[in-house]
Amino acid sequence: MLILLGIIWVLLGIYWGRKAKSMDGFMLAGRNVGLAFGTATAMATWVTSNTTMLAPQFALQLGIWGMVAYSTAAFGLFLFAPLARRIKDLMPKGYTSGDFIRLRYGKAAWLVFLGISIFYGFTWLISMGMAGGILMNALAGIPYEIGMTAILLVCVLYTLFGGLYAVIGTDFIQSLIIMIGIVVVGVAVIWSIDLEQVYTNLRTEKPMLLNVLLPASIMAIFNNLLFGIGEVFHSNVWWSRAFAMRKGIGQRAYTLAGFFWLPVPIAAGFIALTSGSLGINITSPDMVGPLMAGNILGKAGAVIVFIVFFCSLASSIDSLLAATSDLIVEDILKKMIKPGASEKWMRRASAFVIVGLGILTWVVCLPRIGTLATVLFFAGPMVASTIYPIATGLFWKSASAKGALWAMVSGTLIGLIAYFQMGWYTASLIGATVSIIVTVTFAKLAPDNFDWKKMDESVAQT
Amino acid sequence: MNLRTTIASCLMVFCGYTSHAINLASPVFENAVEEQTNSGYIKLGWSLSADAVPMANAQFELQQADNKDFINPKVIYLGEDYATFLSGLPDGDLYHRVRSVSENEFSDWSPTVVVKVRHHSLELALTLFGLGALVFAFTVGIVIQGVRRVNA
Repeated sequence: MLILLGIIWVLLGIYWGRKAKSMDGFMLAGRNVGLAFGTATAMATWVTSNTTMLAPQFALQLGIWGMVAYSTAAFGLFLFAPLARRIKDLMPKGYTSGDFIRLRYGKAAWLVFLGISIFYGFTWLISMGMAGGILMNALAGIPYEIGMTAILLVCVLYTLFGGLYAVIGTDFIQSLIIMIGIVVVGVAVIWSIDLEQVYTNLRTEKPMLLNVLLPASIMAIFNNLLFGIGEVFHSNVWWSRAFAMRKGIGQRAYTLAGFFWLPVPIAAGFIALTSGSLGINITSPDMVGPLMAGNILGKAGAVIVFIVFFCSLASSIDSLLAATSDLIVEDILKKMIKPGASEKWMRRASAFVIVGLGILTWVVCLPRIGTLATVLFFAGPMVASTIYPIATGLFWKSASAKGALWAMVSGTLIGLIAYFQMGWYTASLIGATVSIIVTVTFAKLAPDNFDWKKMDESVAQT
Repeated sequence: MNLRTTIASCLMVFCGYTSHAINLASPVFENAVEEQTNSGYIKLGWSLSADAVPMANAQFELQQADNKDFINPKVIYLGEDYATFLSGLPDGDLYHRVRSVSENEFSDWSPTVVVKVRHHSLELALTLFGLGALVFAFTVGIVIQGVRRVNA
């Protein structure tokens, strides 16, 4: 099954890759993505391993609020919808989120933002590489190292051949498989478990998971919501799609994707709560999702779950590889190292960067550091601190470069202190709080008066 | 592991030992003697010493009690895994010990690990919840007000 899925995605990558004749084609799918593909790619990318594997982990660790907390990440898509429209209006020829920060706030904020964004992209990639290995190990008994290597290899290959055309095309198919698969798994789980037994077991063995006043889970709700908003607002994964969609499509596509995504973490998270009543031992919390699905649904179910999880992983790894390589090629190589580089040179550089990112991710994934949550949420305060420089930067003329810079730096630092002092479930919230205070204070006390025309680089250069 | 177990069993038979002649190796927790959690979850892991000979069909029995003398303990895990993840724990001190079990034989109990569950205070949690709600409301406000201003 693994080999079959791998071959299908790589062949589709080669097929769609034929369309990517120019750099605009390779990086932004010709800027011509419609509503169906736009919605599907946003939804499939957001149904990552972090949804199918971290939502169950949240439920196991933080109970019913854990599932709800995870589903609040949908607000990232809802709130990005109007931003996508504004981005397309302001920067019709833009390429990356880095372009926005550079044009809006200048070099110092741009460098800090690139550091945050590339680091986040990399931790997300690592968490998904790890998830691939964990998934194959839990469902098929394939050793972690082999499973992790296989999924990274497949995603690197088809992203390499097809660029964003392949990413969005495969995302469309993957989103359909994910949605059908989740409905099938959900119905099968409800059919095969005794809800009363699940409740009784939780009440006696894990009582705090049913407690609506479980402190850690109360803290996690807005922490996760703000982390989700930070992820979507800053990441080039979402900006590249906003640039790639036709004018007038982005807002509707992101809103629809949010609604499609919202119930997925609750469905995925619920099965984690059944582990105790079924007597299944969980050795690592990030394995609970696939392990439970495989156990409840038997061999045939395990195959369906395997396909769904594989699709959810692939749809995000490919997006991250493409978006992070765009950020490195466009913002670092083209803007800093080789201005005026030819399209051919950039295309070759993109290929090297995609392969390099794949190799680097593989090296870091190999020792399996921490659980998925601890790896991913380490980047939480960093991305949360970018929310306000971006949101105010898109709408307020008064948002200033110094405000943006200090919001990102102080939000990250103080958020990381919270990460170590209080727990990962507080870091994004603290980072976002510091960031909003600093951004708004600078905008009010030392306001800028930005000229929006500077955002359209093609016009500015003319 | 199975191959290792089979080879070990064959060697024992070859050497003339029976399973009753060999004491089961005691597992040892990989956790600190005293663990604290503010979130009500923790992973307990254990291992056998490097020179211990694994027994065929050996399992681990993990007990939990609310007192260090293990009066009225609960068996919270019996199986072949080397770890278990506990969650949803209420405030209090929970004592844990683990041993190897093979048919009618038992190893000695491991040294005890106490897990001190001290949830964050509800005041802190609700304060952060309120702060989060406020920050979220401002975020939504920035976006809605921005869109209105642009449309106007």
